[in-house]
Amino acid sequence: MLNKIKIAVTELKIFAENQGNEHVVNAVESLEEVDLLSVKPNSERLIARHDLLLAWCIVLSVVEELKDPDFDPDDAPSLNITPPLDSSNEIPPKSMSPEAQKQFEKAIAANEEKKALRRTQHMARELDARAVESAHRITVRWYTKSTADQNEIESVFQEAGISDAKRVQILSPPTLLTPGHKVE
Amino acid sequence: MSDCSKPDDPVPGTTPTASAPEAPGTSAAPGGAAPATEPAAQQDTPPVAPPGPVAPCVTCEITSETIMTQPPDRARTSIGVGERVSVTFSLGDAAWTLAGEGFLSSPTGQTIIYRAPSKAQTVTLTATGGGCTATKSFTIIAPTSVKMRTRDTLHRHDSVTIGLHTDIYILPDTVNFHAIEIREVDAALVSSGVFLPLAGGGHIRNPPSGVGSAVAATTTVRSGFGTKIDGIDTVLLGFLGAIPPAAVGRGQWTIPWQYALRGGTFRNFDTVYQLHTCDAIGNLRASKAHAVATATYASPSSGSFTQGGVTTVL
Repeated sequence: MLNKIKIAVTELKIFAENQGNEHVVNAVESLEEVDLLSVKPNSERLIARHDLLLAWCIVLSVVEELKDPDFDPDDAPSLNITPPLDSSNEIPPKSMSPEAQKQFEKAIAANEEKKALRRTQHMARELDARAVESAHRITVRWYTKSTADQNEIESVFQEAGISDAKRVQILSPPTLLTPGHKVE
Repeated sequence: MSDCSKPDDPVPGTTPTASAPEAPGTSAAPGGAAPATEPAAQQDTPPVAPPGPVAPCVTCEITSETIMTQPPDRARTSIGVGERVSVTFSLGDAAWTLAGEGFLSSPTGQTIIYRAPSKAQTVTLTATGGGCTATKSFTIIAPTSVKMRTRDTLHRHDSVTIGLHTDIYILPDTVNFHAIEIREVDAALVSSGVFLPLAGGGHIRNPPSGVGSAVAATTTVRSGFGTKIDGIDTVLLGFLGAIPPAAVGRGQWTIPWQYALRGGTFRNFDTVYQLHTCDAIGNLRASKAHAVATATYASPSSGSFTQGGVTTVL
């Protein structure tokens, strides 16, 4: 197995054990750095294309698990949490009671949690788009229409547990309108 | 931006002779994707001299494609700080060098990934392979300014309270700043007239201190606005209790903005003015980074805002 693919597989294993999102990012970046063009001889490249497509499909399965179907792109966190008004009639308030201070700290923690959750959701959608595009390109560039090649693609999809919807995305012509990328 | 030098050595050929699977595809891409030209690296046999008078060094090149799909021109050579771009040498395997800051995913290979550094600069990538050398320069762009878009207007009837919620974008819109986080530095309100009692207050804390927490950028780039930040700003000044009558007044925060690559060192990149005004007949205006809201003292109440976890309906 190519070293960059090995690194990606290791990162995905670490993620499965520890749930650190950065490991999924590391896996994707490592796969993006795979240079199939430089793999020789051809027999090695045939193995590498299979490994690479499988690794991308595993990434897609992992990323799918991370996605929250109820994610609302418009429900963004606050840039800053400002002190509660308390009994003040002024914005911004000039003073804060101990109770308001507690409320303030709680609100800051809640906003930080929201930021982190949304970062995960944005990340998952971004990585999904990159993985779909990369997997699509492998199927187009490194596989022929022969039955043997198409069967290999199918077996990779099955091994990785790729959903029907994702299968269609990978095999369809690429588009810039990828899931999670809001058009503005 | 791309240049290829002709060496003194005999030039190798580029005609593919491999039996590896081949399929259509013309753009450079990461993850083993299609190269810009027919891949010389697919050869299983040594390169041979090409037919015809055109030597490969005349036409050899480095092609590139940004990893981010927005902005849509993925062949651009202007890239945002922290952006990654896939680069491919047209003659196959190459040794890569970088003049400038940033990171190469590998020192060798036909297609590698370049990651831009955290500061603006011009860098040049050089690929040497098959007896030829090609160069390509990239302009690394740092955030230059903040641009906001009004989401709603905040106003309480019969008061000088005026504000807005805004979406936040980072210019320029020609690159993708998905790799950055931004934050505001707290500052003291400078005010006069009807807003004088609020003078000195911070826009984050009171008294003003430190910086706000960092907010991440998204991968969305909106034409004319830039990279969208995953955060909403509440721009508000006024009184909700003992309300002074309408009178001339002005309140302004001068706010430094900072960016950093995720986990990196923050740098100032813009100064944003948050301005609230009231004239003698009660015309109210609030503005920040191109976003504006207006009302009059007597306008109906509109909007709600949350401070410290408590939502107030105006």
